[in-house]
Amino acid sequence: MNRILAVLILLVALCVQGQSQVQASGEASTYVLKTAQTTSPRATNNGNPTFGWRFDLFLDAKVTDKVFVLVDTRALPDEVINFDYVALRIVNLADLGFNFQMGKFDMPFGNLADRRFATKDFLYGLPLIYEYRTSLPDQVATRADVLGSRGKGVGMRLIDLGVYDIGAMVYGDAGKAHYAVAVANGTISSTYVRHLNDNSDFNKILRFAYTPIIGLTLGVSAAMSAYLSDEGKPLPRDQGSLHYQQLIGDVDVEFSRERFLFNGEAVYSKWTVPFENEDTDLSAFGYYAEAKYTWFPRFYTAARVSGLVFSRVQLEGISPRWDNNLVEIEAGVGYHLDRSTLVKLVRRETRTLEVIGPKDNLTVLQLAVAF
Amino acid sequence: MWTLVCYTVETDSPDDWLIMSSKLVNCRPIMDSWRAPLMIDVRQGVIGSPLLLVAFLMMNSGSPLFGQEALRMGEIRGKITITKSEDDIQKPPPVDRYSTHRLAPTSMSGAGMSSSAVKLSERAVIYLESQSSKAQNFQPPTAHPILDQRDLAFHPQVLPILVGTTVEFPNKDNLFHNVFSYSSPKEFDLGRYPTGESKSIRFDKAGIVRVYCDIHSHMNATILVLENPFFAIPDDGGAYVIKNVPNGTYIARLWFGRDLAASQSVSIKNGESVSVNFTY
Repeated sequence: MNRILAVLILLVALCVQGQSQVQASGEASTYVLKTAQTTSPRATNNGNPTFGWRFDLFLDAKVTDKVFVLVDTRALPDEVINFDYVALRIVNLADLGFNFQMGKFDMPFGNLADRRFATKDFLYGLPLIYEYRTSLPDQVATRADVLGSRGKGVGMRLIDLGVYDIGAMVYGDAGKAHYAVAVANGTISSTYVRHLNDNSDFNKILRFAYTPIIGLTLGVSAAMSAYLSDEGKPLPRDQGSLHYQQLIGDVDVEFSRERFLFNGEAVYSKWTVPFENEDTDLSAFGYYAEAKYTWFPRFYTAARVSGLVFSRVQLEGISPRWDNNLVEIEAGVGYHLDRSTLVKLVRRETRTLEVIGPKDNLTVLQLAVAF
Repeated sequence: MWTLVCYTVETDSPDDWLIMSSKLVNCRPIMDSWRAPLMIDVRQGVIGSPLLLVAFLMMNSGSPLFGQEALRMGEIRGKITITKSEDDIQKPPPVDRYSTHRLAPTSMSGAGMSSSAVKLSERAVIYLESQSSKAQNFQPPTAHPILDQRDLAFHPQVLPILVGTTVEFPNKDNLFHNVFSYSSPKEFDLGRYPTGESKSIRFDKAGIVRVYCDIHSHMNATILVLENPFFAIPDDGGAYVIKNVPNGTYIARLWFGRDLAASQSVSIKNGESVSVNFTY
């Protein structure tokens, strides 16, 4: 209730500012979906069909020619309203040619950008690297804890949803190049619950993107930070939390021409994990490639292939992967009822390699409206 | 600008305007700036060559009708006064929030996303409707009117064309646009093409075509696909003239921005000049 009130107060405050130029926009989406009846984190509602919805409200205020306030709120069923984005932006800071932003916002890592929203997402879900929760928690855990959590979806994501985190950033363009440098409380894999920095390290993030020709952008991102909380379970050895770092790198490509759009990312992450008898490096590699083609006005088809590959750990003479490798294919069709309204029918198949049992899948019909 | 005006000899009724290709009886070249019947380019304003004009002059010099038929055509002139304050309909968002992740969109001039004052001549059109002219087939121009994608906006915001006209959509920005329309007279999706390239669409059905950019949601324009060539674009002071209007009764309409703003009934008799002013 308090958050709803806060949104309303924010709306009113922004709108009554005669000096400010405020733009309110957003989108709403509803869906009906059914997943396979499995115990995996990819299953929803025990495999029973269900309806759902999501609402996003964006507020952009131009306070002066150089100062902006940006706010995103998000609401989901059975959740309070979340503030995903509350940031102050100063463009061309002190006439130095670069821009500055501070607050809570999506960190400059990867190229998901506005494709996270239903009207811009070709399909229904996000790629595995953004959605799938691995078996590695951001707390101290034993080897058995991690291995016992494989496929249960209780740990960190590779890239935590939209990488919304609290921090500061400097960014700008130089010719065909774009750069961004940011520091934040959390890590790329663990942003969601970090309202305060819970160790003495900030996440350091770099992004560089180059657009050699119109329609093609190549990007590279990297980040490193301590990922364990000082307030969590005690560390097993004398090393402080600063010793346990996450190093993560990402390359991305965005290409479009005529009616064809393509996006892809590949990401590699390594965590130094304080297992009970020794520090161990765990790593994961993830990727996705997605394409969309508009066949004729209003109608398109799209497909995405994404996957996760996990490294192995030693346990009593065997070396299992610390989480189950996954391959996922998502494909669908989209039809624009009008300029702002999109209906999508999407099918997703997930294969958990090396695991015998029912396969995950999802079928969803989604209606999304931008306003 | 040279324009060819073609007409019948028997009557000055609007019903007797001819299809140039099949029933040409008489033509006369005139030099003017208005958007006349059978004019080739409503905005670019260039037609034919001097040799062609001389040929037509020679062909028609012996005709007793040459130079006389124009007297049987009336004109509508007037002034548009816009009193209503209206936001720029292509006003860009105050900030591009994903300029944190990729190159910020910039126009050809490098100006970025900024709202600029829009000329009245780019957002207002006066056109005539009549039942009699609906039944006729006017020859569309061979030259193609242009709807620019420039400075992250469409120019003009309103483009009047005659049914059958082909419109060019050049991209003059240093980034992609994706022009599309889901309007019933013409649905199209031009896809993404770079600076300097152009695509064209022929509009064969009369009506209102709303045009958007799939990448820059603030960009929008309206193409008025009209059943007759009796339309005009005002100058930036609001003055307009529709010349060579056949005798008859019409509804004069003012289109402003995205909307039909006003309508008035008007009659042309004996080739007279009628004044029609609009206030919106």
